[in-house]
Amino acid sequence: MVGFLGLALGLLVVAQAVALLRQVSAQQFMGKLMVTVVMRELGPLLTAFLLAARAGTAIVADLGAMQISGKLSRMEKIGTHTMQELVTPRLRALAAAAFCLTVYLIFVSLASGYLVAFLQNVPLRLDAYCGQLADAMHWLDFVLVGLKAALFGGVIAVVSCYHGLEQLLRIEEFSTAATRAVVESLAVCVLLDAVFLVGYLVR
Amino acid sequence: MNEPQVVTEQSSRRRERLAGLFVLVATLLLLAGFAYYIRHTAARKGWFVEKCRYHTYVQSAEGLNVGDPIMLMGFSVGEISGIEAMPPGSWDKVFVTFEIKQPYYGYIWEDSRVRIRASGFLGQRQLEVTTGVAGKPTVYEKDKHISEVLISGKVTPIAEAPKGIFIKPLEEPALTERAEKLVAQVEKALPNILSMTNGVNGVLTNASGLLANLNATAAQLPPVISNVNFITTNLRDPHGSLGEWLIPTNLNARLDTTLGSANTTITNANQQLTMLATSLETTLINLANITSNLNTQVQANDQILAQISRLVVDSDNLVQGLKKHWLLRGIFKKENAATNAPPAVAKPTSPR
Repeated sequence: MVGFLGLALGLLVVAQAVALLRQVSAQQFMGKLMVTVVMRELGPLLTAFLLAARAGTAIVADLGAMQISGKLSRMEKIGTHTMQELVTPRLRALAAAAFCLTVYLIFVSLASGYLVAFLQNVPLRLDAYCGQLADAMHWLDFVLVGLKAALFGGVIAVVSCYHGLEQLLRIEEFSTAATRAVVESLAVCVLLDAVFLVGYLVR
Repeated sequence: MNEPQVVTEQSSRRRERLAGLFVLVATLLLLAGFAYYIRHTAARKGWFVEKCRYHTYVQSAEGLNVGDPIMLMGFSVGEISGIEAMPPGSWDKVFVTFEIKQPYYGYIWEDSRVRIRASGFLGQRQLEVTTGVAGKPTVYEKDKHISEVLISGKVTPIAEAPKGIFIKPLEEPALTERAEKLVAQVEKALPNILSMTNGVNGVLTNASGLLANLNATAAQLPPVISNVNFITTNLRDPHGSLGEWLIPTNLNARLDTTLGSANTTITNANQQLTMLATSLETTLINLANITSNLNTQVQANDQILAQISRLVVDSDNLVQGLKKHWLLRGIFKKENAATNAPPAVAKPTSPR
């Protein structure tokens, strides 16, 4: 799914960008555009959307089911700390997954971007394209992208766990809780993205 | 340990390995990207190549930033390493130092210049070093390291030139400055433009008045047009043709009669003229005959005159002969009698 999204993102962004940049003979800004749009903004955000929809809902359902089945209360009875046993692993896993998926998505998007440019006969060699990307990047980008992706994964995990553990859910309430978890996760991710944007601007 | 438990553990381990691989590949990808970025940046900024320091002076640091690329022959060959304002009262206002990478400093000679040119639409400027064509190179290497530099025409060890090599500037104003000048010119020209627009306004007003007058005239035109229409209708009508419309009917009848009479008169005159011409032709023929006869007579008279002349000569000869005849010599004794004969030539008398 991430591969498909990355491919689509690269295709869409570059197809639009090439059409626009060609009008002003500014193909040399394609790398900068890809870095700014895909690497800094859309890559982490799209991955977060994907994770919230796929893993966030699963977490809500899983924890809700544990509550209904009484597994959670049994764990508490034997002295297991739910936060350590249920939330922390999910948080770590989602942070790592978000980080990895973001890297894959960005990589596929950048590669498909070059593929589109190549198919559209943009006079740009692969080394020149890579050079443009490297020129447009900053060392902080690598740190911020990793940090942002991991943070988004953590946020999704926390919000999803919260909605899964918040109250004893009935079966018919699962969908509502999952939807709420996804929406709130995305809202928090977008807010965090805005905070990171400030970081980029004051860099 | 029963079989299903073993299978589950194996599946779990495989899944964990896959997850580890997933994370590892992602991390490696990111690290590879970072490594490429570092390598590219190092190559771009020339971290591991020899660099030579140069400096120049400009009038304004506007649009220049530390880290901006230095261009040479279209390549980015270095970057600005420092921009400082000079002390007040200095002739040169801003001190700019920059570094040029190996091997590009080899293109910079004594006559190279630093052109500060406009770059972009946002007031940025860029330093561009021109290649040298005459004089000496500014940098001398030894074992691929800079050993000496050219300072004020002298080859000096690099250690004695901490500020680097001076290159004369060729400063162009920034695009914004040019835009300001343009605006100033526009402001100067604005009164003229305003007067011109006033003139245009006056012309347009006049044209508007003219159009209004034309409109009024056009409003008055329909009766005229209807009259013209009436006239043309009359003209088109066979009974109201132009002749009858201009000349009254009675006058037309009289004119018709008069023209008939004139026609008859002209016909008669024509006949008489024909007759006259015939008579004249006869007369002329007669006259020709007369002149012909006259000519003949004149020619005949010419012969008569010749014969008369000969007769006169012969008569004279006869008379002269008679005069000399012995019988009649006495009658003509009178000397110096006038004759028509030419005077006698004195002939030598022979002795008797």
